[in-house]
Amino acid sequence: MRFESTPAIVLRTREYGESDKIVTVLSRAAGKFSGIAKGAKRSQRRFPGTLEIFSHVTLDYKRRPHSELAFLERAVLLQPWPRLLNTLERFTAASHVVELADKMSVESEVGDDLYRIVAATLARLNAAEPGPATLRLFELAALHASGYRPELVVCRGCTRPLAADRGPVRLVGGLGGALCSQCRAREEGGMLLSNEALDCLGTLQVAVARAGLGNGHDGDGGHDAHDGHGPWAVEGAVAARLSARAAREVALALDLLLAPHLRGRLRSLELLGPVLNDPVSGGNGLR
Amino acid sequence: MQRLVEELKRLPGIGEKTATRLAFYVLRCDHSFAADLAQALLSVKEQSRLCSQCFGLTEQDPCRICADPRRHPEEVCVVEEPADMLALERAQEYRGHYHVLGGALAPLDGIGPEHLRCAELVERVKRGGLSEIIVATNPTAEGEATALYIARLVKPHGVRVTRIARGLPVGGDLEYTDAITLSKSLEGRREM
Ligand SMILES: [Zn+2]
Ligand SMILES: [Zn+2]
Repeated sequence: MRFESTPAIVLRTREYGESDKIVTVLSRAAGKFSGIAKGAKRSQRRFPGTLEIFSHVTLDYKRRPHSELAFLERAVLLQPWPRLLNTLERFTAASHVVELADKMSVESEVGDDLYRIVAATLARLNAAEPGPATLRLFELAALHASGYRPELVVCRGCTRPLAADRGPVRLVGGLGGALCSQCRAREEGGMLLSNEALDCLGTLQVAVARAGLGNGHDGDGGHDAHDGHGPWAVEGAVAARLSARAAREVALALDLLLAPHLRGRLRSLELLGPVLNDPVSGGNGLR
Repeated sequence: MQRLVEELKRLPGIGEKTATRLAFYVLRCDHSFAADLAQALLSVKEQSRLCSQCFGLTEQDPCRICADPRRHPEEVCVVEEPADMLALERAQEYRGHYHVLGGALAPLDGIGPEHLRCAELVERVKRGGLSEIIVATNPTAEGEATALYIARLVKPHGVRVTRIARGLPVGGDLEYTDAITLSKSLEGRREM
């Protein structure tokens, strides 16, 4: 039987028995899937250190008729991102990216949007340290790609423009958007969002849409993102005018919008956030 | 018989077929073999515990290495698992003490700093008398992240932190690395 081949990013690995590994990847051709790499812990020829979390590889594999696990034949490094391991901040951010991609996707769901977003984000993190908007852009792009584009322009209740609102609006995860100051009294849940945070989310959303990330067509996102193109072009400007308080609000807002679409809680930022000493994150990790 | 097969299947890397084969083997052997095996299994659980200084496996506390006056207590080599400590001992290159973390940072598996023996390491550093901490976590993404974390934790206390050289294959495991490669990577360690 012939092997199929696809670019893929390693999301998770676990050891299996004495020398095998079970690996979950996000691939361009076949979405997310898991496979078994026989002899992975010994074979430097078939898997030359390429079955590590964050590895961007060309994967040769074949489906097996009676197993959910594909057979992994070989993984060759496609694009090295060695600087993801340069600092704890980058490692933590990259962990958040692959964890979110994993918990937001289901196996055998095909489509390369999420793959392109994850690849672009890891390339961005390899190029420079994460700032306060880096992961927020990724999270928004992932929402767009999965068909959950949040409504941040008009009120979910009365469809009036939110920008016309003076007071804070109420963001409700389950609504996938916000309620204006008039409508917000009807809802208990969610969080109040200041004008500054709402404005920032709007800017990020426009950048994501412009970059063509998560719109189901070929934009200039993907591999150009690390050259300062793609949605990350707006990062510096956003970070420069974002107060620490608003940055936290935006992070919480994305948590809220993501929560209904995740299997399980995200743990990377929660576990490692407190030990990061990145001043841009307000002393509380990348959140 | 079925009970033995079921118990053996719980061991890593043992499936139904192997478990059945092993069970038949035990059945064919004489009584003394079964008794010795059972005794060995029980005593490994009853007598092995963790060394209160380095958290390696030992039958006496402190362990043979921590108690050895010819070793250099001012050097501490940080490893993930007790098996890595044994691998480094086999290489016969290192003459200092150890600190076993009990794993590596793996946030996606829910393993953060508080699940490892990091606080205990800081305690050792604070007690003073250390000149160098050699981080010998595995050459995996998780092992590298753990090394970064240890360096961040320990350096403010003014102790030199080094990382074993990258001659080790990426994705590998100290436990399965040969003695020569291990000696070389210890020799070529670099400042963090
Ligand atoms: Zn309204
Ligand atoms: Zn000891």
